[in-house]
Amino acid sequence: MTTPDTSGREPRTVVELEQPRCAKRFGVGDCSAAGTPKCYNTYSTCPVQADYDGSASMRWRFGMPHPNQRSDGDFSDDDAITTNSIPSLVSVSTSESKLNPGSALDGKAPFGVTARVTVSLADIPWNDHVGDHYLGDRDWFIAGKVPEYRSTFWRLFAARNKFLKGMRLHIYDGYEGEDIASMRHREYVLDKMNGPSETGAVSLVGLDPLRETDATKSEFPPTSDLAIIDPLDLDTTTVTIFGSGDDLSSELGNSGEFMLRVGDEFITYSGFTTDENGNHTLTGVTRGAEGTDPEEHETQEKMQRCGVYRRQLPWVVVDDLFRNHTAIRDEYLDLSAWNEEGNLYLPTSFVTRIMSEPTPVQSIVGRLCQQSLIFFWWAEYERKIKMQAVRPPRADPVVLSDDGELLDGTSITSDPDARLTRVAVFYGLKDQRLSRTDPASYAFRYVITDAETEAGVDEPVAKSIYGDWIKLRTQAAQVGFRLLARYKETPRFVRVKVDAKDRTVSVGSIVDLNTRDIVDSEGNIDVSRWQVTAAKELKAGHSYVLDLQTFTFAGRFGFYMADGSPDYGAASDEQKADGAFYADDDGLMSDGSEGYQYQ
Amino acid sequence: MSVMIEPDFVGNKYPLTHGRICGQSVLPSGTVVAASEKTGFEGVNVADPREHNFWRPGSANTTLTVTLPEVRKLSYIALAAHNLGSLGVTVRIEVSDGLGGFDNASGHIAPADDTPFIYLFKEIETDLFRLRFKQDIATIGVVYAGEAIEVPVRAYTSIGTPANIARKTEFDVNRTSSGAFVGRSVRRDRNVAPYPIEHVSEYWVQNTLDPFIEDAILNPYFLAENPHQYPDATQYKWAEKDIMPKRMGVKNLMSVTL
Repeated sequence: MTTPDTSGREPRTVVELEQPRCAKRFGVGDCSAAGTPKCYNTYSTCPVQADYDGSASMRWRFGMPHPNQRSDGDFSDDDAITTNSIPSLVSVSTSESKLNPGSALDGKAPFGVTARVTVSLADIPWNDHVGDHYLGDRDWFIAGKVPEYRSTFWRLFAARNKFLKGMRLHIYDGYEGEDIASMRHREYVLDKMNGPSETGAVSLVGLDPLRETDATKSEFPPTSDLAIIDPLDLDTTTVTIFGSGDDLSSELGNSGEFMLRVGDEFITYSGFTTDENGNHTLTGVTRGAEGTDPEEHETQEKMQRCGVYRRQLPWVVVDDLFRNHTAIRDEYLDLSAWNEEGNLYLPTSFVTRIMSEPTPVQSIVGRLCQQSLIFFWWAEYERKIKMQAVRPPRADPVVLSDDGELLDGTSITSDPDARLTRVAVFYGLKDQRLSRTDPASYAFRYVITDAETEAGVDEPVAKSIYGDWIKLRTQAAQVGFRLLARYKETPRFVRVKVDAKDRTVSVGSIVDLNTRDIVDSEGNIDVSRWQVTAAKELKAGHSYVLDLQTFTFAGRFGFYMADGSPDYGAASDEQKADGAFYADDDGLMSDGSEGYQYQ
Repeated sequence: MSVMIEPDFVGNKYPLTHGRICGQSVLPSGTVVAASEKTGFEGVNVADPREHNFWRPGSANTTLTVTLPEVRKLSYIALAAHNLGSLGVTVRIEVSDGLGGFDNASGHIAPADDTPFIYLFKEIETDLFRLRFKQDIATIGVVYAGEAIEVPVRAYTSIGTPANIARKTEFDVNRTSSGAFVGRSVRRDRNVAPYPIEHVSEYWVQNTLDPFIEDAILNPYFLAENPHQYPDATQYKWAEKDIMPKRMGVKNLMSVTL
């Protein structure tokens, strides 16, 4: 077996297309299907779709046609078959995901750019020798004979799967002789299937799960199917509604409140009753909630449920949005890891907001990232959505040098427009219905300035953050300080190539670059610190491209400490490294070392 | 890849220094029944020339029985996409005695490795035979059986490259910015060797080779260039384009490249 560290390694790529299938059997038990042809356990071929149960699955495995390479499937569970490797894989190409730490880079999506994978395959003749529970019942089947070739694989697949919902692509990268279970494994949501073309070419396009937050795929609060039955005057608390009871009872946010917006008025209620016609009457009604004025409303006037988050940690809000208001699978979310990160760096960053209009989840999360200085990305090899605060590195960075790791082809760019000397954070939204991008909508503003730079070398470069989720000055100050610390110097970007042996350096990693392409004013190599904002394969199992962004955090940063921690003089080295202590009036610690900074 | 030869067998029409073309398998025309098989690895899969569906028996001592619609001549069996060699599994050919039993038609064939192999033997005629596998539970992708075409001319002339050394490898090399070697990746390797045949009669081409050519449009085949002298020069290969014999302009002789 070869490995990334073997000279003469033999890279291998395997792709699996995971397809949901019906767990029932045709005409058996509570499947009421009858007649012929029997289904192929897909929704599209199901004659009684009300009986369909898509909890089973099948994985179609594809590999490149290497001689004597075999990857056996798993047929032990009829409802979770993995086929043998079908040698029709042509190529796998990836467009990398790109971070946008803290949503600070204008012109880039708040999330950064989500990843996309394109799998190219050749079409092949197909005879259903695997995957058909009813092969023996087909009228063309003859026992002991190779099944008749009915058409090509992808023509049949397209005919039997008119919907791609729930399908996933699994990409395995490994080396000759390596067991598939130990290969690096990436996962994407199948978005599109193109082909088969005239030449039999097929491409499958997969997107990373964060695309499930796109405007067309998810919104919060969901658009309500609710309207007034009897007109409302200014005083009545008898509110009758027709529409979806689920829209009235669903939990939207963390507060447990039930709130509706009608026109410009907010109405809260504690519950509702439903009559024999399916019409609903609210109970425990309060008109003109949240400081709004009661209004008169006409019959059939639309009503919108509001989502309410009060004093919640931003990443917990994001977890709720992803988990309950997008198609992102729970298994991709890792709230405990987010809590670990957030509680260390942002334990006081509570946010509050009433959302009264359907808004793309991506947009909401982008704002939360910006106002909390956190960022999310799809860690494709861990198959988790990761979260990190915009903060200094904790672990020792990996060193990439000209002599050992960096391949030919390093290129450097910079983005002077992203540099900042001043950050203004507007916070304290006066009214939840006001425009979030209008400074007049906010009661307060916190401004932090890099006066030294402004006075010395450059004109002010300002950025305004509209903190519609922020209520407290301390939080606004924290956002402003962190953002300025990260972008007070012109962000620079480097693209480097590394060998497969260094492929563990991936998105989010912090690295030190030791290259003659980056020198100081004297021409000496300037070892500098960078964060990997994008990574992708150049050639699978052989070479990789990393996009890096400068990671500037000058100073000694403090961390929140546990109650009962000692004073600086009695603290251990570890406590000094992972804690924070008040400095003397001169800004230095009692041992003369640099004082801690707020981060 | 190799050829194994029945003891004392010297060829049916031509000596074993002449090439053998082993295609037109009889298995697809018959029915194939495995004495045991694991789910997803049915015995009938071996009759399909594709190398990605397999038979895996349920027990170590098992048979694969082939019933043909008519009596056919057999002078070879060939296997590809198997792991007999690494598991030490042997295979033996057994032919119906017409009385409900089977006679041994070969000894225990023991492949040295997992590469495709051909076993050549003295021609027999039968409509019922079976292969007996012993020692371990192997996985087998392709089984061919049929009448080997014996090439009338000796294989090795001064042209061509022996298949076992006709390697075609694509690889990439990485070096650091400072010029140090850091890694090499083999992207693809396969032995690719055209097999030229010259100075064969048009009669032979029309009557013996052409039915094979017709079958080779659809199916791969096994080819042994010189079973006696170079048994490793053997391939499981398929036509990438039409096989087109050409008149040589000398008497009624033709040439063809497989």
